[in-house]
Amino acid sequence: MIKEGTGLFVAGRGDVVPYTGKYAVKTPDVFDQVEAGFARAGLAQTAAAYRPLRVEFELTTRCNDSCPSCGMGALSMRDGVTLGDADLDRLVGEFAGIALPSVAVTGGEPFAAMRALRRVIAACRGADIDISKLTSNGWWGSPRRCGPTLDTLEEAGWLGNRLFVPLLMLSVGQQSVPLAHVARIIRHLTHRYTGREVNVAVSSLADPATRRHRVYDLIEVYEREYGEFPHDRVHSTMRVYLNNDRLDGQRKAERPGQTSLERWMDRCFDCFAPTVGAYVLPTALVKASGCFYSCAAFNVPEKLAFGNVLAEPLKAIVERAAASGYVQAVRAGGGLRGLHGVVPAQFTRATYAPSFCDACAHLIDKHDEITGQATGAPPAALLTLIPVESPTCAATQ
Amino acid sequence: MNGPAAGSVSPLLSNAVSRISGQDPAACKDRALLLADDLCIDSLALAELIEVISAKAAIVIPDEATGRVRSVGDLQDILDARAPGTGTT
Repeated sequence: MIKEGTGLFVAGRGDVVPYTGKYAVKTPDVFDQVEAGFARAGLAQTAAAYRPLRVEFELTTRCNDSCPSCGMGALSMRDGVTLGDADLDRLVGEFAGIALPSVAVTGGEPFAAMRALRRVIAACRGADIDISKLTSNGWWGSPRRCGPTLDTLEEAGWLGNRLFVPLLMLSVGQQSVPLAHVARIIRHLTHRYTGREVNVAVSSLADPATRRHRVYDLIEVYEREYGEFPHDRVHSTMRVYLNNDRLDGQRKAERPGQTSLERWMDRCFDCFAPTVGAYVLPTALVKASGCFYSCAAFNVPEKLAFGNVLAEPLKAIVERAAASGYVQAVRAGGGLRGLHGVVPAQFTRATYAPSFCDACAHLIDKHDEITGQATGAPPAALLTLIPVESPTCAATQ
Repeated sequence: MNGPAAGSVSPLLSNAVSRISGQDPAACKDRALLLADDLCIDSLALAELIEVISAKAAIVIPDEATGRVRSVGDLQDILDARAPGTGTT
């Protein structure tokens, strides 16, 4: 498979080569176009300004599978919620209001909320916002559903991106979805579309007990059915999940050693950027509750919630995030390493964490203690952060 | 990838493992050493180790190859396959 991290492009750091990497761009002047959009939206330009290049958007919290260690906190089809039409339209309108270049649709399982997925793709297309990535467990890869589902995506405008090659990310972690379904989707994608039209990635999570990645099983299943696995078309997403450092409840023996904040800080960008795509940094996460976070990592610290897009204008929330001393330090330093000048080395060397996000949470607390600042939304906005299951969210499927 | 076998590994590899694990280079030569259990190399350290080895040997190590690595010997097998000149001792 194509190694994660191939073809990373960051604004101001060298030329952009179109159609390379997992998060491929379509045009070498992508950053100029993005910047022009932000200027039209009235978002200030400074060297380290926080303005999201992509929002990881939780369309639904519902999932039709039940992985023991879901990194996204998905709920069952009965207990989860999917954003209703009015909320979806409002969110896309807010995204357009800041000239957001792209959206990545996640869940839950977005394809289990197909009507909402079609609506958000079409709405983004109408608002000139690219659908950068769709994530799925591949449940729709049965012989009967696979082709028609891709037809539906096309009809909604999935292939009409302006700046970024759309990516379909298939997750094969602890899902119970037959790997034959996932293999069939890969077969369809790689034969129906060129690499300039659609990118394909497989996200593989290792089994906590055996540390074995299921991607090897997937490759076997694919090759039994279709012949040689298309390694030159499929991008891997394995790196940051090795040994499942992020899984809660793992036995100590399966999570060897403890890692200091200092080490997490030094590697934050290098490990995270290939996973989400360097061009999308800074990125953001909008949960189905409307809560906006200034980072799209799994288990993002709650203090990086800067407001609720269903309760106030996104522009105000982005400006609040951009004014945060913590966010500014991260932006200026290119990831958590930017906190080196703020948080004492004595603390970062002697404090341990099991993951990037846990390290980040420690650093926010220390940053706030030292600077007297309060990272995140102010108390007034926090009131809007309580997830409320509104009637529009309750039943849309 | 085959399981760990007896024997030692190249200086390039033992030095890289030493650098990342903090162990003495002489203690990182055994092919049978398990990265996680014997050297406390977690996933972050493994990512760092792969980068160091890739840079030193001027090779690209695919993620799916990294995902199968359990021992120092597994890493040497990758080096032998992709950078034969690194020389197992």
